[in-house]
Amino acid sequence: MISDFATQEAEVATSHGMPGLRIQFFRGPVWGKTRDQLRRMIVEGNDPITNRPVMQELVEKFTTPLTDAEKRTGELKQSEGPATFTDTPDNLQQMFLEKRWTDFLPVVLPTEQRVEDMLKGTSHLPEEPLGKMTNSGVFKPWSYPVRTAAIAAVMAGCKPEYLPLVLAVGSTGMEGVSVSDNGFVSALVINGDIRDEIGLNYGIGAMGPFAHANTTIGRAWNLLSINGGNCEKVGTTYMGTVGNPMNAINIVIAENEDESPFEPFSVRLPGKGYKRGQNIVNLFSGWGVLSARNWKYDVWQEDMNFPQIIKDIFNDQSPSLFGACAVLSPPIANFVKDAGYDTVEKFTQWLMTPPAGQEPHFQNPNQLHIIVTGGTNNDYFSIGGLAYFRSVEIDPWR
Amino acid sequence: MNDRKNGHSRREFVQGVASGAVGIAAAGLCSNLVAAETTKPVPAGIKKASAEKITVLNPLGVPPAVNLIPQARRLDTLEGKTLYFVNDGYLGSDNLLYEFMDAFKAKFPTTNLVYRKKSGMGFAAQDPALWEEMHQKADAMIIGLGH
Repeated sequence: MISDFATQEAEVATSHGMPGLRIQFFRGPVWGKTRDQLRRMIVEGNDPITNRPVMQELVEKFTTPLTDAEKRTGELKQSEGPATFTDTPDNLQQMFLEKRWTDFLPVVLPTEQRVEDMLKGTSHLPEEPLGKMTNSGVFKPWSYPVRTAAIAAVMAGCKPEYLPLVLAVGSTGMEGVSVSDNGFVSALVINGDIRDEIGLNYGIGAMGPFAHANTTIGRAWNLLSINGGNCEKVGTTYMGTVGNPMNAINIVIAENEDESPFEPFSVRLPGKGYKRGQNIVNLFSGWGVLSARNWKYDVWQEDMNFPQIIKDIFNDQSPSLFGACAVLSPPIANFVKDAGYDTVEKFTQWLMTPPAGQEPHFQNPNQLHIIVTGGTNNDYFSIGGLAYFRSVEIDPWR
Repeated sequence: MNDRKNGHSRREFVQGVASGAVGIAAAGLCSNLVAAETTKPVPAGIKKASAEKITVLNPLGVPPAVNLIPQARRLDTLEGKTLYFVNDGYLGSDNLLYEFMDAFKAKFPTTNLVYRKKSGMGFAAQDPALWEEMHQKADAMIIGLGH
């Protein structure tokens, strides 16, 4: 195991009942190196933590007798600590920051009154179990009730009317930020009347932090992940090598259903039976999205073939992990429709069709996703890798 | 007429004095403002609010219970034992394990070294058949944990 993961692996081992697991560390990364490099760097090298020869340590791990601690059985109790904390607001802000209970920004301190007011946004009882997060399946799960999600919503600055959406997301157990060293991003795509009800932005700036609802809901998801799920702790439950700026509040998209020529994303999901107007939150994860203008197929001319540009960019995406996802502004979606693809299904079928004699780049239409949001002020759109994971009805959480 | 005084023209000198005077006057005003700010008393309500204590709720979820698993017994020696090298499928793990096997072979020529690649989808997938094989045949195991 490469030494950069030492703290994390100690925590993983503990969470699985083996706090003293004998792990050998060495200098990494491993992939991309020749056998000669691996031999010299690792096998004949030193453990970067102890500075002792790796081979010597390996043999010792097999032959040194177990300590009493390594022979222990029974239960190791873990506690979340006291139910409340009392101090001045400044001291509490500092404490929350030092304990890594925040996203490094000041929070709205979760007083009993504020949490009580937040809980008016749902009929569910505070103690009702809501979800569990395992952080990509690596750690044993932390669990959290409705109250913990309400606390996260208060800290994020949410209004009580946003709580059903926060609870719907929390019920899935999907973390806002994955532990992976890849630096994944999570996304929500919201459909239904709730978009207008709570003021989600789906016009100019739709994917960005430009409305109270979008920004605070994305933040609440992260705070629930950090505190309810023990996620996003750098070095243990977060290992993104270079990080991802979209992790700040995740990507929170409300589809522009009024301006889109297509059915809402949730309505198009096969086998779900969701109706237009029904309040659904759809969860995605992946690399994120980037303006289509950054790709080599970008042109700026009188006669634009947007469907072909989208297809060319899609075929440059890796089909392996997250497929391809296009977030189209309404003008671009209407270009696609006017080109003869009056449904997303037709468009996806064409996107998957390779040139004659070639193999399709994507094997399954479920690898491709089209989302419509944003303003009508220009012909812009974004593409990247975001895979759809699941959908949840929001209304049961009112 | 030569108005230069110490290398500067009279006009420059006057302008310099004027701007200096303005600067000094401005500084004087600013210092008065600063002085006023530092001596202005903090309203009692604000002082009381910042010192007043409040109670907040613990934001944490419930951590899982940990059932301790004792470590497997250690060996008195690796000589004559069977040592498995398991690759979880991460890129480069095979080459690294091959190099470790070469090193163990040189150091412990009587040790039986067995290489296996774990099956299943993903690095964390279980491989019950391999676990059973090692349960039956292995004295020790090294697994390359790539992720």
